[in-house]
Amino acid sequence: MPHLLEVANLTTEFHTRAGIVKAVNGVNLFIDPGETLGIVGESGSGKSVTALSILRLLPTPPASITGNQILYQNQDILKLNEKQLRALRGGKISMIFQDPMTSLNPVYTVGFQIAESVRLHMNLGRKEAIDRAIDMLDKVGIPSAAKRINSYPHEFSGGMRQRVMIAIALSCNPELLIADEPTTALDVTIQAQILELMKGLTHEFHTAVMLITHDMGVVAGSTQRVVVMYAGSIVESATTTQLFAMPAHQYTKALLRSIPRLDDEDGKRLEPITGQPPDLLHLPKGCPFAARCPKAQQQCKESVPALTEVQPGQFAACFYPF
Amino acid sequence: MLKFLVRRVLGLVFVIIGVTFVTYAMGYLAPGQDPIKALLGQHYTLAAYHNLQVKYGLDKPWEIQYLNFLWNLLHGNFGLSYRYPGQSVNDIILPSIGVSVELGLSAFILALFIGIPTGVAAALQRGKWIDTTLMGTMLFLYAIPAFVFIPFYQVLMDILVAHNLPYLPVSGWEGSIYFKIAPIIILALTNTGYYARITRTVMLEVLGQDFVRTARSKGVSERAVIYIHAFRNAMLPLLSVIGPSLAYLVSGAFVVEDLFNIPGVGYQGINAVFNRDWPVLQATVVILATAVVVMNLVTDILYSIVDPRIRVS
Repeated sequence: MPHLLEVANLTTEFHTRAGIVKAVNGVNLFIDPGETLGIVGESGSGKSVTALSILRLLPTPPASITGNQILYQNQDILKLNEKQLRALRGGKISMIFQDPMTSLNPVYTVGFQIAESVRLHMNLGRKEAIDRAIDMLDKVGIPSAAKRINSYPHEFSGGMRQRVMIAIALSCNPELLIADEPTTALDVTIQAQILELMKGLTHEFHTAVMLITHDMGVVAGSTQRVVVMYAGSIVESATTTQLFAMPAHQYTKALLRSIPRLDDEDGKRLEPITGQPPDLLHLPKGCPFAARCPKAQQQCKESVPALTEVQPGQFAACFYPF
Repeated sequence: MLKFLVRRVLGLVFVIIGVTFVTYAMGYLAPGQDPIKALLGQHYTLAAYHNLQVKYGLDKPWEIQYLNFLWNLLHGNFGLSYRYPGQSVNDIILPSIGVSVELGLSAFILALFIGIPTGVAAALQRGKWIDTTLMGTMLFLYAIPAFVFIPFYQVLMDILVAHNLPYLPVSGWEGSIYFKIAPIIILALTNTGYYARITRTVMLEVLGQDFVRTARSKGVSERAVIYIHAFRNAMLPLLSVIGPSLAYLVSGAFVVEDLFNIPGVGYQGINAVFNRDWPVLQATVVILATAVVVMNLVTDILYSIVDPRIRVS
């Protein structure tokens, strides 16, 4: 079966006064239809930039995408013209963002904002688009949808606004939903509700999901495969089960160790990863994690390890995996 | 909404009353010759003096004078001119309002239709040479006052006349459309620059907002992103600047009216200052204050139409 989306050697740079910031550095990944892929990493690891690059939503300049290709159903997104790109955005691939408080336009009703998408991609009239919007609002669990359709974003809470965003994103039956930290800005109880809602709806519509997060708990609960990013590169890629059972890359291991566990004994100290991620303006010559890695050898500081299969289905960019 | 309006209008009444008091006090306290003596000239009888004093209401104590002034104002009567015997302030000021409104409104519309699109265009071309050129020009227009432009214009017309080339008049208003072109354009220049620069700043800020990215991610065309999603949000800060500036434009462009000899409110106001014709000056100030206050109210109403968040509270 062909992949739904295949990103080949994606490199995204920002040209700033201080120099070239390499935000994403040769990323390869794919998503199959209906699958949920998690992308984890700390702030600045290139998760969001990867996502925004896929839909070419970064302002160019200062950004520039110099990847080989981003194949979506055998079409290279990097070669699409404006019109083709617009048909893809929201229609085939849609996106949810981190902060629901600012992601909706404050001066239009949520009904307008859902229906706008529907009218653009589903070839429906005004009336049908509104019906569809009510339907979607109902599906994301907003009570008395037919009335709430005329409400403005400020009349909703954060969790409710994220539900509206989900309604917009799924209103045109996209094949891929890119969710960029969809629950980061929400309360923990609301987070769980939103994740459940996304899981249920994407399963119902058979939508593939690229779930970007820095929360390992979210990854464990919602994804089938995971990609771990560090300093703009993929350091590990595995099925979710493999990753939690037997992380291969030292960064992944350190990341998992740093999370407190319920079965930890009382008084156990947290184990942070010491040091700082490298400056994206001046990436080191070798493995980007070498400076913080307990197992680093001379080789790690001199050359960058390639992503290699360490066991069936699990890839790590590390000279000394496990 | 109705409650909000009633409260605002009541507030405005008090502001205007305050303004009338200050203007009245200034006229009363201003040094200078007794206006009655000025009217009568050098030779007069005491009886004539008293007659006039009673006619102008100046025989009463100041608080009664002020109340009379307010009472007359309520009836749309600004009193009598100190300078032109037998003429009421209304005779002088009312025709000038129409002139100022015509001049100011035309300049306002011109500034709006050039300034805002220029600002949007510059914002969209941020950092490129178009942006730099447009904004440089706009800063120039904004920075140079009308009293610098007008002499340049007059010299230019002089040169055209000298070379038997077609030219525009340098003074006057009534008669033909040709009189109106230059004053309107020159009055519009400053505001064009001002609107363009503010529009650019506001648009850039709005275009960087998350919801603009959301709109793009939905596949909305760039045109719709700019005009439907961004511009409507940019209108909020623009309104709060543009509304009051219209008040200043229509209620007397003092410099332009004076240098072009246009008999508007500003021209009458300046003449009143030189003539020590306080009732006329008071009328000018009250008209200016009322225009500012009313435009603020209109701005608030427009605000609540554009921004749903204000509508509720």
